[in-house]
Amino acid sequence: MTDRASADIELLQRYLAGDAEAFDELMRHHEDRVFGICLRMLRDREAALDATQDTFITVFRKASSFAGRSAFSTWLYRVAVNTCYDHARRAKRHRSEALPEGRDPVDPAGEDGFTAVELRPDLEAALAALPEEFRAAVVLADVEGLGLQTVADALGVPVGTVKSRVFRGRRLLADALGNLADPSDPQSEEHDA
Amino acid sequence: MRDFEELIAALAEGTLDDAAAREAEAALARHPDGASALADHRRALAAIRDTGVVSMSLEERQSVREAVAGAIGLGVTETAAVARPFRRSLWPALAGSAAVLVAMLAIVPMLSDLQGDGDGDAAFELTIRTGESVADDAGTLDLTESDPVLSFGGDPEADNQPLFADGQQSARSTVVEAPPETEDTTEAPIVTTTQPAGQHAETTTTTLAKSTEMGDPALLDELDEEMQSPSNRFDSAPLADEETDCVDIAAEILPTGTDEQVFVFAYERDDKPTLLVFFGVDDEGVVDRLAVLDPDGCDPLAARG
Repeated sequence: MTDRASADIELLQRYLAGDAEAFDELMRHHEDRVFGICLRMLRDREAALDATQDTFITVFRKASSFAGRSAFSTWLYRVAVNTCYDHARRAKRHRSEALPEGRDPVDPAGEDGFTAVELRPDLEAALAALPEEFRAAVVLADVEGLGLQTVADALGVPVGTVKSRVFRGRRLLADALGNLADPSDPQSEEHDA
Repeated sequence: MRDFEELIAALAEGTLDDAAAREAEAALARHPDGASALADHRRALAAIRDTGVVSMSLEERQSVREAVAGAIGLGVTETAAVARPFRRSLWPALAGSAAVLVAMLAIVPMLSDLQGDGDGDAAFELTIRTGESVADDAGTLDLTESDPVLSFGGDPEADNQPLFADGQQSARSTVVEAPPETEDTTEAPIVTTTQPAGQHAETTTTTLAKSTEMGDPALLDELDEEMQSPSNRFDSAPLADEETDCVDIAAEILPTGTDEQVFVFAYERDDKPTLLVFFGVDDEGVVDRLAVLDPDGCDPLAARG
């Protein structure tokens, strides 16, 4: 177990024993990564903040049931991904009920260059074009740089499935990037040829 | 098929050694879809690696923490406040002040200062609580968790040499000296960072000792009073890792083009830079020069070395 994983377990035990500082430490160590996963899964800042909040609420409420078979962070990412799936489903339902056009909301981030550095717009759009399960695999493995086993644990699928999703996800991503690229871009022409 | 996919993925990720990569490329050349699949992977990874870091704003962070704390039954007041981020608006001031510092370092020979004829009562010690790693490539100094590793080994007789002649100093410039009433002057700190028990691991507190023997006593009194105020304490944190976006005071290594490392502490209040402290560290980890600057106009407030 890594130092970070051991520290997380200790913090979780302290939190369960009523130590409010342990809560703060756990939040501080993980909130940005959870937010990053949520933002890249949902592509909407407000939704990502809601999902981040719901993720931590779920995790802290269920902390006593955490068995420690995986790292705390792996469990946290799994909850985050599932929370994003739930939010995406609710948003889709809401859009289909409330809006005549199923248009994705625009992420208002980027107004503050320091607090909100986002993905490249073309990559955002390309990620958005991926099927949900492929997007999750690519976001966790390639964007967040998590290990395949961690991604597998977080997604609740075998490692082989993660490899396959990442493989297909990257190809779809490349296709989407190619389709989004400027036709006058020589790289794009080369790729398409 | 699985082997083919893994081969392409590994090749694109660059995780194969040279021999294995050559073998993989040869194998892929015989596969009808090999080259385009590899190109797709490389294209996707290149785009992903070209992305920035996502983080919440201060307000978002505070809002999420409060909501989570409220939902799980923790009082908001029980959770630690979110520190203010180190705004990038500070860097123009830092850049200007760094240029001033480089000029100062070029003008004042260190050895002559260390061998100067001071009064002997003004030695000082700068102790900086730092982390275990100094990320040279990131240009930052980690200020977390460990015991002090840097100390100012100033010569009591030499360290009170003013960097600027009186005529060169602005109205606000002064030379910081150790308190003359201190019996053991070698222990009198100019700047000391400490970490009170119970405080967060990456949070440190910096205090500035005053001198009334030389310089502008009124300014030093004012400065000292402000810095001793609990509301105006320096909170230090690293810039290099995930905690670094929550700091009031930050440290960074400035490139000098020489073997000596120059660090800068930037103190920020109300989102505005208010004080910059530069110090040079020799190859033995000893701080051998120090300068305190007002970022507004780059006025030197104090200097040593």
